[in-house]
Amino acid sequence: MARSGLANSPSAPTAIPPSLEVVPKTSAPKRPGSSLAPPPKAARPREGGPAVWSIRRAVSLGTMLLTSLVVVSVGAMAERNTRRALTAELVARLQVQANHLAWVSVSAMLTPYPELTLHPMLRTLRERQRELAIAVVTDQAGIIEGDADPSRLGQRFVPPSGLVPLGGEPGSGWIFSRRPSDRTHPTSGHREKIHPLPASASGSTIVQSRTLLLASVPVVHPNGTRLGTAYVGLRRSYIDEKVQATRRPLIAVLAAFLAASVLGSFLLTSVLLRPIGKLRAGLERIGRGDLDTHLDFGPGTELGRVAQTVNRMATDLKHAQVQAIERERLAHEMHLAQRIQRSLQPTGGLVEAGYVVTGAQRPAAEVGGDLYDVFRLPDGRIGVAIADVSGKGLAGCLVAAMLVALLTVLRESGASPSGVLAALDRRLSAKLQRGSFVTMFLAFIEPRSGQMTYASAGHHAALLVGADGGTEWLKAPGPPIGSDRRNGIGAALRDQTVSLKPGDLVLQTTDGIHETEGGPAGEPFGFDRLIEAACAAAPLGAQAVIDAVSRAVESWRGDAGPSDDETLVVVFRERAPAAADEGFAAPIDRVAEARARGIGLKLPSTLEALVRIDDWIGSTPGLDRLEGPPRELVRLALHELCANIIEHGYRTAPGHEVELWWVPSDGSGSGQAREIAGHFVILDQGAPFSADNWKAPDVRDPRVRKSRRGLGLDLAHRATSRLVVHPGTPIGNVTLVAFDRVAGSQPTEIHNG
Amino acid sequence: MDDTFEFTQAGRRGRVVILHVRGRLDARAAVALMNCGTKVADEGCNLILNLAGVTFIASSGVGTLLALSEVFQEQAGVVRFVELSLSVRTTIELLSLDQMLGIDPDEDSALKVLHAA
Repeated sequence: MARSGLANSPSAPTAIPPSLEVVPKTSAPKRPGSSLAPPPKAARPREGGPAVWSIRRAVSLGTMLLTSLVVVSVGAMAERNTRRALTAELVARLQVQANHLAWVSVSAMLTPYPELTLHPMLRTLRERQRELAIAVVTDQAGIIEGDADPSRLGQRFVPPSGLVPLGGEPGSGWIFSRRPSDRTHPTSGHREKIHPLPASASGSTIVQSRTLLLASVPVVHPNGTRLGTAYVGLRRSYIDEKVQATRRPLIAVLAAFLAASVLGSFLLTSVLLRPIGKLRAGLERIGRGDLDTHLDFGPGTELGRVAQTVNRMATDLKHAQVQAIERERLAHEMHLAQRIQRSLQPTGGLVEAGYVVTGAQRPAAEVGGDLYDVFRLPDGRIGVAIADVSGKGLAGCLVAAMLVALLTVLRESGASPSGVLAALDRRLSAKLQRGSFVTMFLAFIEPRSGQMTYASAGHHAALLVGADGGTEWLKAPGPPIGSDRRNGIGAALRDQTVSLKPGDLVLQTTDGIHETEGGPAGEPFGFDRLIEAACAAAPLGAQAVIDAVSRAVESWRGDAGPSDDETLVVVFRERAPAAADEGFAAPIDRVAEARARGIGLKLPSTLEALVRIDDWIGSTPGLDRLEGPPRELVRLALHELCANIIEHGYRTAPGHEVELWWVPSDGSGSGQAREIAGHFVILDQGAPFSADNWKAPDVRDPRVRKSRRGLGLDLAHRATSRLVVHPGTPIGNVTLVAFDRVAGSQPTEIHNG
Repeated sequence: MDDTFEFTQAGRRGRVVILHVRGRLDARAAVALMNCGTKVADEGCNLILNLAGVTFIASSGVGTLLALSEVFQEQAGVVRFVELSLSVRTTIELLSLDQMLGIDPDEDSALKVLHAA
């Protein structure tokens, strides 16, 4: 069996894949504590946290490094000088010893056996002076005639290799090679046949190598005959030993100096940094909120200036904190006042017996004492009250709260409006502060006759907008509540009556409306503009008038917020309904009623969203018991009406929503499965639908049948018993739908509101 | 109830194609059904459309049923609608289309009508 499924068609409901889990939002970061909250304790450096680079340690380490550098440099220079001086002294001594040896060797060299004299003398010399490496006397041919080591006697004296003249004197000194014929000049490198002994002006030489200082002095007879040469050599390590011996005390002195320097710098730094510790402690106290902390380091120091700055900062912070506390207190009081004021207003208007009574209030930033109330009296009359308490803020709100409480009790006493106002005055005036008063307008309406009885305690006149568009001010004499505490105001109050005809509308406001300043000259909004706005919207009902007046006042005021509460109430007697649209006039009131007590569904402006209507019907009390053809008719009509709005009304303005409301009738709930008691309200913001351009399609026409279109509204009309469209009202297009009959009804005419 | 629209070729008897339709027959689904029905008509076959599984039919769906009747009539073919669901029956009766559309109680009745034609 071939299968051609459309499971993936756009009309298929889209399921959320289980893999697409909804990730909960992470909790919003906590708002930092208000300025009044105790400031958090200053965080101390955590153990094991980033190391704090101590100034004390840094200075001590720097001092130690610098001192060490100085000590090492001084030590090196001292040792160098010591070595030079010691070397010079030893060279001189060596030369003296060589001269002495040459001098004492003369007599020995004149004897037949000079070695017998020289050997003991040189042995003694070497034993006394261990630092001598060489002490030799040679004859003129270089044969050793005297040495401490007797085995070397008679051998040719060969000086150690690598010897160079000390100080490099020109013409002095030669490098002695082991072969006399193979001698090389130490600087020029030329090889020459020369006399094997050094030749200088005095005949004595000093040469040196890395390990040896060697002095040679000719042994000369007093008659000038040269008899030989005396050699005395000194180990250079002897110089190192002597230098090293002088180095130890120098190091000890320098080490002591280094230690003293580091210790001194550490102590000095500690003393200098002690005020910084105090400064830090003071800043931490300030950080913890102790703004009375005062730092004092003496005005003449750098730290003293820092302390003065910190003290100024703490003082400024304290002042700012006090101001913030005051602001917070005022804001809290204002918030409390606003909550009280909101709680005094009725949650919704009254829509019954052909009347719509409703009101609205836009509170000022500094809350005033306006209030209004709409209520039903036990005898079936409708009551409406509006009042303005002199004084603003929490005090005004508390008076308004007392007024509402008293009114709730006194209005059911059966007294007329003036009687209720007089009773209010008696109970309230004693509690009002001197100079405070309340203006109030109170009206009771007999729904059946349309007679409205009203009285005013110092409130300005109410505006009556007739069904024919004419206007009249409804005046009533009377001073404000609390204005005559001695005699009361009861005697001055008068009840007035007016008969409300269908379509008549009564508007009453507080002074926040007509005293709103604006426009190019900053003049009050006034009563003329109030009349103009109310008259223009009156045919559309009570809510339309409230919206129109509010918009006009807001536009007149401009960007500034209201400086006083703006409160208004409206009593609207609906027009005598036509047979088909009974109760379906005043679309804005119907929307307000739906929003107040209906059950709504907001549909995105997509055809795919229409499937949600089925679920909504199934879950809405009153609709959920529908079954069979009635249920099919309801879902079909609502689907078609909403689809028509989405396809046509929102074609050029997508992205909006369609509001669908079910408004059950009072006392509904006992209907049969084929009946529903109530009506539907559809509100959209799309292009206004003109019923004049619509007509039922003729399905007998083949072209109509092939077009597959045009049946939606026909279906909606056939399925519903009442369908009224109010296009282009101030709040959008309003469609009112009722299903009083079941399937098979004849098509009804569309009523274009 | 699953409202996902789908249609299935349930069988073929000679030149008669039988389609079973399920789910919501709204504007988007109607386009698919119209395309499928037009192909059947273009092949010169007759069509039996079983609507027992249709949970909801919108005006566009009704329009498609009317359009298919017209298309088959132009091709000298026949389309029969059988086993109408409650939604379909209510809507068709509301528009008084039950006399304009070829409606039979079941597929066998429709086949008899087609064989007799």
